[in-house]
Amino acid sequence: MLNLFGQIVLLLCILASTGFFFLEVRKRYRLVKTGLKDEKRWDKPVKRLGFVVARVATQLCSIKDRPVVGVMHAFVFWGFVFFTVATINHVGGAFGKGFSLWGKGLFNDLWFLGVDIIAVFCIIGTIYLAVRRYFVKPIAITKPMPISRSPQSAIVLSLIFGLMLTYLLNQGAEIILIGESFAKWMPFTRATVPLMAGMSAGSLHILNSFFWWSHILMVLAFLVFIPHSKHFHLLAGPINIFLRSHDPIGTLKKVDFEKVEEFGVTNVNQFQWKNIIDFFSCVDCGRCQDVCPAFQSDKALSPKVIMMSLRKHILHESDNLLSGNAPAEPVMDKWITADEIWACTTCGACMEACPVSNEHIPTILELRRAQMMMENKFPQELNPAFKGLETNSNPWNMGSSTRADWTEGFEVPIMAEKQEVDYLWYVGCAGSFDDRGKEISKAFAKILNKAGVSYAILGEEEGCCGDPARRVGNEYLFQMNAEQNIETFKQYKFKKIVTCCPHGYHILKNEYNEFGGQYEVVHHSQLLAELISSGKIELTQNGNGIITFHDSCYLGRYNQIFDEPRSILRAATKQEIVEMPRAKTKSFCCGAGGGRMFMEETEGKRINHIRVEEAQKTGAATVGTACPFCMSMFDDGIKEKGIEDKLKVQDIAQIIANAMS
Amino acid sequence: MSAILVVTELQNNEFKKSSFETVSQARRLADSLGQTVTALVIGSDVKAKAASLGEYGADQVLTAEDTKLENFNPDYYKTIVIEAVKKVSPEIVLFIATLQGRDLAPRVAAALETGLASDCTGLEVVDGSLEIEHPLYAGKVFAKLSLESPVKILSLRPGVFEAKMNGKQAVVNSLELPALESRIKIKEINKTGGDKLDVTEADIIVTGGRGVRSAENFKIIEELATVLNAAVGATRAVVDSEWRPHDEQVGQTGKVVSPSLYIMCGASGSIQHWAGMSGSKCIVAVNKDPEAPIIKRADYSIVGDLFEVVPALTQEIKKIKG
Amino acid sequence: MKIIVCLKQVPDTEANIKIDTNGKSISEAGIKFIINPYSEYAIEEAIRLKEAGKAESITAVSWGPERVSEALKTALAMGVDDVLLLKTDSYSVDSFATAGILAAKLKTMEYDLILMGKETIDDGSMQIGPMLSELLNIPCVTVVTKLDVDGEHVTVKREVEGGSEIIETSTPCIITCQKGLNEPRYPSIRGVMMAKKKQVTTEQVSFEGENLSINKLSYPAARSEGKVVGEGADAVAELVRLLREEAKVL
Repeated sequence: MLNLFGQIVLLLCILASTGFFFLEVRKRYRLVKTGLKDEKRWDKPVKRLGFVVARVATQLCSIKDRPVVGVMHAFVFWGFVFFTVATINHVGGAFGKGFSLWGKGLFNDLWFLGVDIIAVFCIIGTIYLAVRRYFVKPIAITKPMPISRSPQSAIVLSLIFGLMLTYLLNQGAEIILIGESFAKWMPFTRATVPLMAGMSAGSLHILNSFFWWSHILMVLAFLVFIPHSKHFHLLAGPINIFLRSHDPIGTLKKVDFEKVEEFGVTNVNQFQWKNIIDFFSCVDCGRCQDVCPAFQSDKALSPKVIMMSLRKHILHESDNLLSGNAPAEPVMDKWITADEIWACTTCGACMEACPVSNEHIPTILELRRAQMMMENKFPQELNPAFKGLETNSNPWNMGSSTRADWTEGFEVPIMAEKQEVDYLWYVGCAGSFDDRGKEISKAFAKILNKAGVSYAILGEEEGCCGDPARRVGNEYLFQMNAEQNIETFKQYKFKKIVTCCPHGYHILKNEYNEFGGQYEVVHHSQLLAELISSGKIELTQNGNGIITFHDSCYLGRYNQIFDEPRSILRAATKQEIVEMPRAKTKSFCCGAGGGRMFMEETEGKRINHIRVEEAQKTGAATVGTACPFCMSMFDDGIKEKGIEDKLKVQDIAQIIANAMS
Repeated sequence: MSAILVVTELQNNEFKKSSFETVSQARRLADSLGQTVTALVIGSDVKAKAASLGEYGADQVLTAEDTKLENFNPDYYKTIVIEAVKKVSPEIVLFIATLQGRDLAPRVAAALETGLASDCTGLEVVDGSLEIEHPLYAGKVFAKLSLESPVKILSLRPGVFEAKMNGKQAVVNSLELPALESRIKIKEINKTGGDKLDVTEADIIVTGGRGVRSAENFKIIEELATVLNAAVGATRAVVDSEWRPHDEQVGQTGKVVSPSLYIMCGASGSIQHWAGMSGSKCIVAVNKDPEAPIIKRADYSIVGDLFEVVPALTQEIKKIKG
Repeated sequence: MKIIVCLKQVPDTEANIKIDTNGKSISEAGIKFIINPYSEYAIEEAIRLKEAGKAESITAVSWGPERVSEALKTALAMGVDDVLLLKTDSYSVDSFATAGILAAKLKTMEYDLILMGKETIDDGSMQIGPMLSELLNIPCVTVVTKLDVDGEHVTVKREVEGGSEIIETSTPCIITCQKGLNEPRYPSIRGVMMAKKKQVTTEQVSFEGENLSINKLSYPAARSEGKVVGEGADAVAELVRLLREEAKVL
């Protein structure tokens, strides 16, 4: 217990520190409030809360992608939780001797045992994390420079370490001063006793006070420090996880051209409020960067840097924003560069990996939208793709009247003749114009015919789904494409839409509804799986050899279709699939997404080469794909590496067609 | 007897082959219409060779000689042609649809306030009047045109009509030169050869794909391009491998080109490449794989090893170019 | 400096051209129209001159039916200041008649530089520029791949057979633009939105004194499927023969 002077000093310190804490938090709260509205964040609150508990309390958020680091982080996390309560006891002790929230008794003893153990685990955690950060130096947390070189982590790790140490030493001194009765079950605290053995009572009292004050001052310093640092994720992280989007990864919001005149984000005050919480939640852990195909192939982009740069930027502009003024500088060029935003393949691996549920892709795409639509600044090689989408509704600008030319020599029914079918087959641009894509279409047509499925294609009436335009920020062109298709779909009767292209699948299923197009959409892998399981197609052994499967981002991570393609490959080859190290939710992009198919890839390594190497290492003779763009990236990569004799790529439909008797 | 006036062209002070073609056509028309053929030769030193046009059917050759006329200046040349028209009073004036002829003919037509049928690929006399064929929409449709003006001006596409010798003797007369004035000045003439041709400007492109296998091997592609006065193009894979500079890349993310002749060696013709060159008038592929998609899509293809075919092609073209 | 760009709207290069039942014109059903690609070089060059501070205003002029206002709106979206549609019921294959309606209007306008494509990809006549030169009595340089404007001095690089020329002239003049002059920009979406709201000034005109007319349209002999000339070096001689005699590209 402190004397009155001490108590006053302590109270003043607490007041000051919590005051600073709340002022900073309030500033951030007000900054978040300057964000634009975003309504879809509060629905299903129970489900949201449950997810927070499942992720945060268990620390699965941190453990799932990095088990060891995650467990260490969990030690620190639980240390933090326990010590938040322990601090109340600590402060209480200043006003009443032996104060404890739990009074006396078994629970109190157990509590102290818990804190005792947690403190040590927390020390282990901080030492591990410090060694990792300062000696092992993994790229995830040390690169890119200079953004990952701030002293914040050093300060926080030392504070936590100090907190634990001073706690143990303070309690150890108490044991000597008060006697055995103080610590029933505090094995680790007890271990500090020999360190202070043989000291005079006076020295011990001074030492005890020193540890006691050091501990509480560190707590208070930590409190002041938190909101200023990336460790604000303590607060923002769980909130952000609660607010996470329930839409598939990377689903974009409609731009209402009738209502708004500013498209995308040019200035930092054009973000939605949830985006701003993202910026405050990022803790620079680099999980996103570890899985980012752009970063992994030495491009300018690191998703965490986008978040941290925007955090810096928004804080830099806080005076302007909070006084209702426009930001002094636009986002692009000084805070984020064009190379960064155009390198994104929108694969969604960053969002999948982010422990605090940050939504990097919508942020990057809002920046693209403004660059594209407001500034007219974009990689110029997109020009022909835009022209093609505009005049011939395909990015290669092939004549729209030749869209159905691939059907020559095949019996493929046309919607205009059929009027009503079970499946409207949306073939898509790659399936209609690209030689490799056409092979997929032919194989799928063969299967559908054999299985007697009621289907038809739109033929010349079909247009691009608009994915390439939308992902590069040309929302206007996307809406042109989308509206045209929706009009065409309206003319016919069909139960479902089936498509071989995951990009078409995703956008028709999840993004057309904002434009009045609600359809039941299935991917050809789903229909094929159904046809196989219902016995409509018969498969005989074929000679594909060992097979591996590459998950398309838009099919897998975006839409959780992992099992169907695998099940049909197993059925076709009568053997297990050899998985690549990065599969399913962790699948590594082929490099074509986000409109990258139509841009140059000059910086760093080619993404498709990285993935081809990974596939080759499995020893498989064939890579199965379920996306025409993935297929063409693989095909190019295989040819460029000159390994055509070792590895080939085939769409699941081709593999099935080959396996049919 | 009315006349047909032919405005011939020279290159390096020699008649272009198309000059003979056009004079031959004039002869053919003159014979069916009962007219005479006058050929106009404009240049700085043309008298000596003027008579040779007689062999292709000219009855008369008018020469316009002046140092100012050594190179094509549309203002000077137009004045000369108008002068010749005054002198000959032709019913038909034929130009050659070269860059020069297509620059000059419209000026003359406008000065004479008459219509012009340019770039004709066919020309017949039907019931005493001309039936002209002219391609529209890049050759997707052909039009039969009729021209109803007192003076009918046409330009004929080079290389389409036959140059036929018929051993006539032509009278060579000098045209009295009018005053020559021009509002443009030719500062410099650059013959191609020294400078690298840009793929977007070239009329012929020889492209190498991954099948060329190395930067050094591109020598054979370059050699073929040189004899054809063509630009060298490259596929993305080639540029990525740093065998060729990026400015030669043809395709979706490279340059979009539409030359008259596009020769692809060792390239499979992926859609990304196709999107950049599908506008080419004639596509030739050399590929060892008979199943390569480009074999089906090219207008002409040779299945074989490009290291044999390309040098052979270079030799063959050298032969015909003399 | 005031620039006028003459542009034409044409069917897309990839359009499937079908002859109308009258046999004299093409059916426009299902055809997408674009700005003639060579006209785009002219628009782009004008905008670049304006961006470089060398031009104060750009007016784009076109002719043809109502649908042409779409092409003019694209020009607005790209960055021209004003547009004018000389509305005609159809197109004339007689370029002199077309040059006539353009000249009549241009004579009433102020300009220092007239830019246009070297040809249009529909009728490929390549005549309007040099004809306007006569009708307006100003110099014209055709097939230009490089343009420098310095006050009233104009220096251009033009393509000629077997090479290029550097030519000097002065404003007012007409320049017809060839591929290689620039890379036309994609119109900004902001520009597209603004252009949408703008009204296209339209004047009804009609062709006079047409001398050239279409009697009949026909399709060319079907372009044969890819022809495999042969295998290996032995096929070379035959290939060269085909290129010279059949394709006529050598």
